[in-house]
Amino acid sequence: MGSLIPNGNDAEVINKLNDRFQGNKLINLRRHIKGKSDDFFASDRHLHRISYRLNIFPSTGNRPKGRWYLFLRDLIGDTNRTKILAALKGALDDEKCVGVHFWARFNPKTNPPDYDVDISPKHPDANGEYWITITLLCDHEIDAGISGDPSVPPADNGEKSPVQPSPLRWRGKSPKRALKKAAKKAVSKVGKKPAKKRK
Amino acid sequence: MIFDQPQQAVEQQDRSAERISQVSRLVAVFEAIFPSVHYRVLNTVTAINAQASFVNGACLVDIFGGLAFHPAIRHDGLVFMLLHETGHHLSDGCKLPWAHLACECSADRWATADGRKALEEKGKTFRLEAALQEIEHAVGPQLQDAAPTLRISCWAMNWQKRKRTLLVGQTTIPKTCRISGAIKRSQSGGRYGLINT
Repeated sequence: MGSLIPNGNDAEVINKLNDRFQGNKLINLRRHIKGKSDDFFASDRHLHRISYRLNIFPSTGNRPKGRWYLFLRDLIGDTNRTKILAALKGALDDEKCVGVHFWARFNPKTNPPDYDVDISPKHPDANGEYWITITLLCDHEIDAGISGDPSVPPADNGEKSPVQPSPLRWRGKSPKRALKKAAKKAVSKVGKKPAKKRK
Repeated sequence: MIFDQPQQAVEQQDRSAERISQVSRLVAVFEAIFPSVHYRVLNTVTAINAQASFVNGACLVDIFGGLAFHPAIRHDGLVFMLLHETGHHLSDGCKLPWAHLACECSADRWATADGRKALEEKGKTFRLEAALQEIEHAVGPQLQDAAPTLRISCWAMNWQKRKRTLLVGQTTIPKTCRISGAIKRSQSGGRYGLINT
């Protein structure tokens, strides 16, 4: 985005990431992480597996899914992987972080050619709420000849079910819901008529 | 940026003194008319593209060598490209949620309206139809490579639709970006995109 000729795959994956890390979808991911004790962005987790779990990949053109997974697994580099995981873990752990913006832009400075990641500083508003921006700095593209690997990435250690948490609803018990259920049970017990004795 | 895009190898580019001078003169014209925007020609990058970005408070336009020196791209194509990228910075239409930039349709609209007018006031002109033909010829079939959801949402993500919309002058722009309208903009004083590089 921001290019004369927008790259469809870039735009799709950036849109999906931005959409998943804000609003109710972010809240539901936080609920999954806390409710299931699933350390989703722990430093030993893998970005391609996380991308699979969040169902985020491009869908058109030249073997998009496999090349995206391979990019996250082999090309982005371990330093960048660690930086991204730390930023996401920090954002998800802190409820004052209301969302994460993702972007990619060309960066001609790196030598030798490599990827880099920039994490924006926090700028809290009057309520202490803030966004962070994760920008992937690229000085080259995924080679068109790379075939990719679209298979399901192996599970990371410590993952909790569901493997792909729903972005729209959380399947665990919320404390409020549990209290409501208990209260309802108590009322129905009190209101129940005693069974008639059979003669 | 992440996925591959059309390239023009250096040996297939027009690196004549005349072409280098043409690109430099055009960049100088744009720098004079739009002084808040900084233009860079990245000679070694072979992608047939250009990108606007906002880095450390500066409005940047990067013109990649594959586009700047592409033999199929001539005066009109270069001017439209520079106007489109400048439009990402100067258009007051809908914005990208994650960066301090106008979105694609907004940049196109600015290029063919306000940007064109600003150029004409300085005695510079360009032909839109020729510009679009040059770009289409240079980039080829990869122009239609966006996901259906994106192509449907925004005319600027579908080359044929984009071309038609621009040529008939129907570049209406929504208040929020249609391809990312569900995504909220930063609420932290708009200070996104402050990147330290």
